Amino acid sequence: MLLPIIALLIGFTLGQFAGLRIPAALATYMSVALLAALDSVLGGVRATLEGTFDDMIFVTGFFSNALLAAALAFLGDKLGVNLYMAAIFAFGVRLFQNLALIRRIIVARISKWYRQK
Amino acid sequence: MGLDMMKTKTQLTLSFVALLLGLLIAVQLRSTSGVYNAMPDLRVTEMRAVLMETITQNQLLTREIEEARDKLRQYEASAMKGEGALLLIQKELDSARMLAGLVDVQGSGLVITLTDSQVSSMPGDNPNVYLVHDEDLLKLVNVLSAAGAEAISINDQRLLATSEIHCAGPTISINNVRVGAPFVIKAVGNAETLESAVRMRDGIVDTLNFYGIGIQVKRETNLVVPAFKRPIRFDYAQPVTGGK
Repeated sequence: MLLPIIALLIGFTLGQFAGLRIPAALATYMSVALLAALDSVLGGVRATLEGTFDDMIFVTGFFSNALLAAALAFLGDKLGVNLYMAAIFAFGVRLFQNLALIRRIIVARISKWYRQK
Repeated sequence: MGLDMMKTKTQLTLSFVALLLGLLIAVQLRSTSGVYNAMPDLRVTEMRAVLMETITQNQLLTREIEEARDKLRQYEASAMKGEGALLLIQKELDSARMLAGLVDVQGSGLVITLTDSQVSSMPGDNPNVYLVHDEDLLKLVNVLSAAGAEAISINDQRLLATSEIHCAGPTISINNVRVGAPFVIKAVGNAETLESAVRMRDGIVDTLNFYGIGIQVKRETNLVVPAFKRPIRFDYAQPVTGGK
């Protein structure tokens, strides 16, 4: 579990110093994609804790969720519908659900560990 | 062993995705923080512009005081001698006439020609948007004045403080004279400043072009703006004398 965290930090510093900057017009799509990616990662963590983690599903979910969210937001802008709000809502709800599930699993494990002791 | 291999692969995929996520977060943070940073900078530039403007204004006023003192000295000197005062008054009269628009003036400036739109209107379209309106001329004149135009005429009607630019059916009334398209606007002033003022992005030229109204802007090194030709009468306004 240490390696992914180190990778996250490396990615963060790389992004800080690479000098990349998203044009303001694309910032909305980027934020939606970021939210989708975050949701995928939390979903991955949950799956790991539940023991149902699958590499392929995780990686494809990460990319397709992010890209599809951005693409849908873009399409929504073209159609004059604020679809990015729907994306934020959907992924936001899922994000919090995943967080709640992760917390429940961890709490269950700790209480189990206590009882065994 | 097989399980270990699986675990390493999972770790690697997770790491790769985490790397990407970190990168995304950092880039997004940088992008959004840039948006917020732009605000105070803008404020500073604005304040700077105001300060510079005030300083220039101050200098100008100081110079005006000097000039007024000089004039006073000259008056006093000529009053002592009892002659030459007439010459001074003559000179002042000349500049007052120029200010009032009673003489032709020449100089560098801009000639702008406005023609009604050549685009044929679609059925159901409001034909009004394809014509040059009094508002268009007013806006244009306003922009030119703001850019420091010293004398402006529209179709040889010199614009004064009392000039109207008013809708009069298919024509536009200026100085109580009806003029029609094409409108030729002449403005004496710094040609470069005037041109950049009218050509400003989303400015008057862009707006009129949007409706298909023909607008040609030409710089001239020496153009003549005619004098105001009609008599000026003040029936109601009286100068305030005495006191201050």
